[in-house]
Amino acid sequence: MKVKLSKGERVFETFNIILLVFLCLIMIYPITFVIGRSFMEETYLSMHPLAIIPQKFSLEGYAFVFNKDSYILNSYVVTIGRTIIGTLASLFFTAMLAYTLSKKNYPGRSVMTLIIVFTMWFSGGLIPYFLLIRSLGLINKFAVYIIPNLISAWNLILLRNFFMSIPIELEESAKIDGANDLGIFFKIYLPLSSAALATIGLFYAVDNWNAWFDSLMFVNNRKLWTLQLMLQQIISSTNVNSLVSPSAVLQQQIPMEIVKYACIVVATVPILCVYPFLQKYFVKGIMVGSLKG
Amino acid sequence: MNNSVGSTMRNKIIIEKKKKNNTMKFIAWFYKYRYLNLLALPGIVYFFIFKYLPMYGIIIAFKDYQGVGGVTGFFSAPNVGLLHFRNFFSSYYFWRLLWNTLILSFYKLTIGFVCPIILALLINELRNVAFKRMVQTITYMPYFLSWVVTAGLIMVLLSPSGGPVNTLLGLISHIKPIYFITDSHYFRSILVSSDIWKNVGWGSIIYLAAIAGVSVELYEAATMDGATKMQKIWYITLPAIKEIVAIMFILAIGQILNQNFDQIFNLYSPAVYSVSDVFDTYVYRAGITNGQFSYTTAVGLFKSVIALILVIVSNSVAKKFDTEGLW
Amino acid sequence: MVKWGKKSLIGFMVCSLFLLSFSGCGKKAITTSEKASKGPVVLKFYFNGAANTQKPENEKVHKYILDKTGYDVQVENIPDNNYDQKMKLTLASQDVFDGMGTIPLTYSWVDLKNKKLILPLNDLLDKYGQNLKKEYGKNLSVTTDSDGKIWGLPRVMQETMFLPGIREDWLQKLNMKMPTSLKEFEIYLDAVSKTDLNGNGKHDEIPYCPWWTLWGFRLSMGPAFLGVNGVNYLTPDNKIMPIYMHPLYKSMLETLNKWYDKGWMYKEFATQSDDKKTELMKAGLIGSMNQWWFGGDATLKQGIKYSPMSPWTDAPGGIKGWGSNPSYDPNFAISSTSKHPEDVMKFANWVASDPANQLTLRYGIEGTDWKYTDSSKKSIEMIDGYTDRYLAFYNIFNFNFDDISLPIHPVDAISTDIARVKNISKDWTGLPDTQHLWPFSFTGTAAENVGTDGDTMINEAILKTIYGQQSINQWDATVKQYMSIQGTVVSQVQTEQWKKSFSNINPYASIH
Repeated sequence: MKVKLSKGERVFETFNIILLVFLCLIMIYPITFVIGRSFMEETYLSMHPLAIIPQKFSLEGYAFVFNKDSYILNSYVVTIGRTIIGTLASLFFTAMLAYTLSKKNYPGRSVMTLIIVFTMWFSGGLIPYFLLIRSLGLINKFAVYIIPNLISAWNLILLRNFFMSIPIELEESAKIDGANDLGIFFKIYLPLSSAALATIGLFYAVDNWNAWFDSLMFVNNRKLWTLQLMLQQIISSTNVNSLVSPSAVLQQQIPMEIVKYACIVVATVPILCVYPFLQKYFVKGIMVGSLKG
Repeated sequence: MNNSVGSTMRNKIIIEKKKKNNTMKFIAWFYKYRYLNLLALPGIVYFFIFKYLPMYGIIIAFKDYQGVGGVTGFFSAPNVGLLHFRNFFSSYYFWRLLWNTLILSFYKLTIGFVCPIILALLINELRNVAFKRMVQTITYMPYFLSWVVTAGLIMVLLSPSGGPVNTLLGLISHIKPIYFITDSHYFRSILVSSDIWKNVGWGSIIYLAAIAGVSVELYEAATMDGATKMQKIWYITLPAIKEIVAIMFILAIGQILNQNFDQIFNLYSPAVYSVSDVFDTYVYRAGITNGQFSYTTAVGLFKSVIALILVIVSNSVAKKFDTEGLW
Repeated sequence: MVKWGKKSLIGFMVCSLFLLSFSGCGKKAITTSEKASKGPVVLKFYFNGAANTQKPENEKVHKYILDKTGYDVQVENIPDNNYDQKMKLTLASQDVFDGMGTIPLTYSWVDLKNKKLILPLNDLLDKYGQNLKKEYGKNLSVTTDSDGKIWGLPRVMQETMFLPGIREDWLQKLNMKMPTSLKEFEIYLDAVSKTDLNGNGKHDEIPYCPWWTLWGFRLSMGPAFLGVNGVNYLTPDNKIMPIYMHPLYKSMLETLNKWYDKGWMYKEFATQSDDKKTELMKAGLIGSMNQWWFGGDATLKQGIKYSPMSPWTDAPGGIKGWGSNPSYDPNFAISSTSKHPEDVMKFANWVASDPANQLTLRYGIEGTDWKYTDSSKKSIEMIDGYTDRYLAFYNIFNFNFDDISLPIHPVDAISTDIARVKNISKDWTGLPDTQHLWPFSFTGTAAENVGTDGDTMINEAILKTIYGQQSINQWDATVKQYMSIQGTVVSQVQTEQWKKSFSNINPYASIH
């Protein structure tokens, strides 16, 4: 059905479309700029400060990033591993605890929730935390990326709120059929929560993908560094050559600015490829999880 | 005398009975909720080990800790009472940190708060579904970039030697390149606008969802009555999302002491400390970098306490709006 | 009813977790000591290192040392940027280890001593360190306390100046000679900023680019402006003062502000990275610069040659020379948690027993990775196929190699060009930084809790002054504020310590 628009509405609509197109350009310009320039030759960069489309196509930066002697490729593998394992583990344990805390008839519920919420504001500081991580033997181990970040209090509360919105009748009828809480959790709650789990999973995945501080503090071995830390060091360090590769021959020929761009691209593209597919879930999940009781 | 001895005995017996009773009750409770307990156990264990075990570190806010001695070093450090708090309140930094935090929060609470609402309204007016989806997807995108990457992008764009922004400015008017990220006049604007750039799309989701719940009939009826677009937005859409706006605003007020550490840390430099240093960045810099462990623990503790009070207050206000609030 | 249940549940968990974590600690300690009692003695060192210190080739040197000495030497290389932070955490946690590098730490050896984190070495040196004593001679004084206790092993460095580099071909294009005064240098800067020297039709030449934000400028050209080198200096009436109090500091800032304002100085100097600078140099945009050692070799491949600038005849500080590194600095200390300090000393002594042993730590194994060029053993060369110099063990100990000429390696900053540069600068004066000569410590003094608020404040002010965001007239007020926040107390404590321990060390001896 086509509705006839008044003149004022047509003006508004045109204006609106132009404005939003402009906004979209602002959103994608910075990353397009870097993607385009990551394919340029080093000398071309400083000559053409505004160019986005490379005249001479060069893969120098990527060749370095994906060189087997460079630590960047290594950190890429670590980050992917961390994101997959970390997200799955976090999701599983968060859902388990969130389920218990969502049960209105469970007597420990409010105390436990308060105890958990409290940790969002107070911590013992870096040194006791370091002592703990060390005494658990997690320094320089891959597990330091997974175990200490198992549950985020914030995501836990979001998921708990979502679980609380699931009608109690479903549970009651299952109980009449003789199901226990474990069964209800796995057979009713988890399948019903796909949107919320996808949302929380996305949050965890983004957190894992973008994390660098734990890598900085607890991992000395560069082979176990995460990509974001590598990137952070490349962006802020004074001497990058010696950071990214153990090979002297390789170090000599690094086109650093291009490598930086290429790093930004490889650190960004995977997560940008994933989120549009989850969009319908998180749009649903965010609403229900955060506010509806 | 006798009487009192007897009563003590009696009390003892009662206490022991109670103890036994309580143990039994605990076992009964544990058994009754065994599945729920089982599900909660790993998570609870996690929170105790990784969040509560290290909490003893807070005591050094009241001690003169030298950064030595392992766990015992924390407990054996000499007590200094509230010295670190007094030092902080009288220091050159206190007002600056507070002011920077509050002014940045003010910008984010005003401009940063309104932008997602406007964006949601604009997106909602789009009638082409494919275009609408595209706008949504693109505006959500920056949310998924890390601050490390975002800071990298900002530095590239704003660089005074060969950055596109300065090059364009140079083409338009022949002014000297401006070194934006070390200029205290521009730095807060950079922080606020990059924050909006990153979060505006994401923040609009919740309003879009609320707008989607408004019945189409209302709009149709308004059209019949000859309402303009603006009138429809003003009299139908906005009232429909009024409540959620209020709740989001209250929750945002609860967060005013929390500035984004990742953002500021990756962007700032000594030249702009005066306009951008906030509690978290200061605690990190003076703490682990300069070795003032006790002092910065006190600063952090002060901030946490105030932040918690703010959140509790805002949360209980939010609950008045018939929602669950945060917890 | 159930309320009590909850409490006891929580209590039970807290207790069990405490037990769990403590048993975890215990177990770990046992395994370490077991290892020690059975196998070879493990010596665990922490050192800072770049990426190239962590690589498979380390293993063969590790094995070689084990074969030769019976010590299982394990070096944990912590990345340079985080070394200070991580070592602070490690030291705070009472980690059991044997030795560490102390140069990148912000704790000086005096701090480490006051915090009881390191061991005195006198007895160990007397018993097991004969070669070391011979090797260091009187240079051990850098780590010797006023009461004669020795707290660390120094690193012997080749004295090298931080020379400013000037682009030779641009000098020729401009028809200029190498500047010999500040005035001539400024004429050069001005000419570069006004001439399209790289011929691309744009004025994108950068006349001067400092290194490492302002730190590099201070290390290299600071002495020419001030006549002293360091974050503090000795006044004529024997007081230690923060460098900002120096009478010439203000005019130095004025000069920098002028350079910045006129576009002579790289706009992004305060946030640049070394690589960004190297890239700009390679792109042919930089007219003059400072860098570690000299650094002009970075662009030789591009055919861009830099030459060291002559010291200024009109240097405001009255010194005809540049800053330099000290000839020795405190490098290695034995941890107070070490279970076998005598073995650490024996190992160090073994390294000092023969130059070949230290060459092994640096270059790999004799005969496989490197060999002496002749029987006089005065120079070595790398054997084909071996490209890297730095190994995990590099830098643990550093003795004087002046009589052995080392191979020139492509990675080294001091590479092919060094002979030419050294030859040009051989008669120039180098003024060493005083930071290692006066290792002040605030632990247990009035300055202990004074913090670094003042440092932050004044660093902001310095940058703002250079950018022109703050008027130079405010400088005196800024320094006054700095002194009241931090400077006065620090100055008093340092002056006391100087009078007590370091008054015999004269950093300015080389110039008078």
